[in-house]
Amino acid sequence: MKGVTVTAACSLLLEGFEAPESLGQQLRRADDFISLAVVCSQMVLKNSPAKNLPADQTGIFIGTAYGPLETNFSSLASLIDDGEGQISPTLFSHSVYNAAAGYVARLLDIHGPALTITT
Amino acid sequence: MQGIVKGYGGASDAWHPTAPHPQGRGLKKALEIAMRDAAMTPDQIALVNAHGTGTKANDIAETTALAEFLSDEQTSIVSTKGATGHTLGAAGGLEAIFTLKALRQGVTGGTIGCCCPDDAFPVRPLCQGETRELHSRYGISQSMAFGGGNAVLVLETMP
Repeated sequence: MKGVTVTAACSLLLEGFEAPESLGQQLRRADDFISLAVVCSQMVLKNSPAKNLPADQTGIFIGTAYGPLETNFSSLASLIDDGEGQISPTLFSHSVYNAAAGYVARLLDIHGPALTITT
Repeated sequence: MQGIVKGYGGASDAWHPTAPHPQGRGLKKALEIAMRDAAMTPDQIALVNAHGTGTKANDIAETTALAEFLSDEQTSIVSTKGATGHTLGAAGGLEAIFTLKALRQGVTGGTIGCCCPDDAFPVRPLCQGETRELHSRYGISQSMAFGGGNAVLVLETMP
């Protein structure tokens, strides 16, 4: 593979994780999967030497083993317990695996392609 | 072999967790990228299999984006979700297959369940009961996702 350089990296653990105040309002309904992705992405962009990347020249690639699995279980439980007309629209929209990429794109103003790959 | 992917384009709306950008900003970008990747011009496209969920927000955004690229006089715009429902993760693959099959047969049917397209649509989808012959073996299959994801495939059926 040519032309690939890692210019910044960030790692976060869920234990003790708190979204920064600047993102608190925007992530108030987000699950842990989304919140971690957004906060980590923001830190990486902040640390990257390539500042002011054009929005349409920046893409998102998220690799995840389990994705929003807990949210999936919650939405399925709601479907079973409450019936198909009662599931929360927010819960359902957060249960798709590309939900985190969507949040990252919106909150960090990234207009390039967004891919989510899961095992 | 049914066909090949001649080009691909992807872009993000960066707009809303569920609603598409009202003018289809991300889809327009994805279409631009896909057509450039395929080295093709819009007049070569015979068929677009739209994301076409039949919601007001989606359909107006999608037709607005498409109107900047092609004419509904030359290109047939259909959604197959009227027949299958929204198959979620399977939609992209399934609809690419439908696109290739239609291109191979050289004819497309209209959108099941679509009888009275909104007058606000800048391009008119093919309606239920209508059929049209396809003037080329090239088509587009496009999908839009929660979170503002947009993906466009330019497909060519094999002769």
